[in-house]
Amino acid sequence: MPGLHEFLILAAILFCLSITGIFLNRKNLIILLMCIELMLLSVNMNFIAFSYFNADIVGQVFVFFILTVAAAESAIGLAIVVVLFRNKNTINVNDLDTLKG
Amino acid sequence: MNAIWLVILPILGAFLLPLVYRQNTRVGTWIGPFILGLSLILAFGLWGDIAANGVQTILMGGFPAPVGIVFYVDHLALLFVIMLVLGTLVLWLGKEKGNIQEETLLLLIVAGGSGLVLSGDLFNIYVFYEIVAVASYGLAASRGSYAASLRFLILGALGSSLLLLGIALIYAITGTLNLAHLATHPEILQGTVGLTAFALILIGLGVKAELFPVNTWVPEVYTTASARISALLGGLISKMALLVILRLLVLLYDTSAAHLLLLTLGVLGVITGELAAMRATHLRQVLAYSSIGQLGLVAIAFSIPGPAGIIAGIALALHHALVKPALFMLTKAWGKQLSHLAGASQSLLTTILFLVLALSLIGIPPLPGFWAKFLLLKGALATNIAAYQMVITVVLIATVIETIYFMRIVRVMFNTKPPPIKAPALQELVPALVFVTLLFISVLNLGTIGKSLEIVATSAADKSIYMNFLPL
Repeated sequence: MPGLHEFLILAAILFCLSITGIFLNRKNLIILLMCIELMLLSVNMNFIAFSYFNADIVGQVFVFFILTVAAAESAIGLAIVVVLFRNKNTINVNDLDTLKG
Repeated sequence: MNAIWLVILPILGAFLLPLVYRQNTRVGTWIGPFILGLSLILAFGLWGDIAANGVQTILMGGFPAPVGIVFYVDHLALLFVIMLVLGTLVLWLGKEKGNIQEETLLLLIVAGGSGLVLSGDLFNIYVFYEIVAVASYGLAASRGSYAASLRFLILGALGSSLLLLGIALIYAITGTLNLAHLATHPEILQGTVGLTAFALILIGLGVKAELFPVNTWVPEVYTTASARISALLGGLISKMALLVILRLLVLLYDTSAAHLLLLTLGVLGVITGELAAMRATHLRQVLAYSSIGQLGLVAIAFSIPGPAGIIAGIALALHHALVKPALFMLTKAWGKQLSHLAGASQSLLTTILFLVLALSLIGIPPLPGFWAKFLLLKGALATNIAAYQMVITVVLIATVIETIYFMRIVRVMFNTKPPPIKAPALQELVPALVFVTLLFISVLNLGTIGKSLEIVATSAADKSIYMNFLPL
């Protein structure tokens, strides 16, 4: 069984990956939303690890809430991407930088 | 009477509204104002209740603390709930009817904001914060400003995962997230990990509170969203996040390091916001940047230890919650390049409103803005800490810059050479008129308001009251 450190390092790696994804990805808005999701999940991993190693079940209840909330957030994000695509016919991040309004 | 209805009513209304609209449009248009009015009456009733019987806590469904949801209802939280509900109700006046999506999201954001200030548990604070955030992304996109809203969403999501990381750190070192539990052993959180958690939470909540490094969404969202939405987000919702920061400072982080961190962010916010407002060429942008500056002032006030800072912060927040939405409501017809405002003084009523509001924001003596800034200066002087006394210079410089940019706008308005622009419709002015009336009422009752603010602030600054309600 890996210890708390290993879990935290894995979560940190996932977090850094998602941050890199947000800043390096210049092509696709969907990938941007996936990176945001990955970031929330990596924090979730922290919560589960802390709750397991503190022997406190409450932390795992929190994780369910976080999953729900993250789903709501990506739902509204995707909805905005859909209307954006209908209006401007692009989901390119580079275009997003120059789009007004 | 139970404070839980302050959250349940708007949520219920938000989800019933589309169904009722499908059955009967006329009844549907009245649901929003009706629910908000009911919440307002309830909040005033609770205010009297608390004045008579003291602070209440509510365990939802009777579940004990770590699993159950705890609400902590005191005067400070209720004051902010009343401010949010009343402000939304006033902004509802003269709104175009039948916009189901917008009305649903408005009720949802009211529910989230009320929950945010009433909640006594860090994790619920996160959940309510996300409700507010999701609703505000939708509202920001409601007028076809999808790109601005998407950029807001990306920054907001980044902020909420940092907030969550901060909460996870606190959970890791203490094993609990109940604020009253945490307040019994604040020394655990004084180490490096605890302060890192505070910094992360500050950045996370700062996205909504328009704190310095994470406020880049403010100018573009406020320029592209409708006037009512900008008024709501800038004037009302931002204060809810600041109140949560104040609660954390009082209960968990009563140390100079945490106070100085908030102070630094506040000072940087004031300086950058006001300087950017001076360079802005668009009336909405000027108001957005000035809102960053004003919220920086509130953050500075909240970072002053003790009740004096809390009084000043509440006064500044309430004043800004009256003035900034009213100013945004004037921009429906005027919200263009500043040069378009030439000859705007033709419409007398709007000009008078703008002048009164701008003068109050600058802080000219008979108006409440002066009183709020005076309280801030008084609180900062009383601390005997060098950092806070230097803040006085920042506040005065900010006031001078505010005078420069508002008076420059007024000069353009009285310039009559080009054909005058059309005045905003009366329908748009109704909320502004109501806000200005409230402003004048508060001028006439400064004495009583000051006294009750003092009571509110002293009870909020006393963390033993909070800890008495430790749910076991």
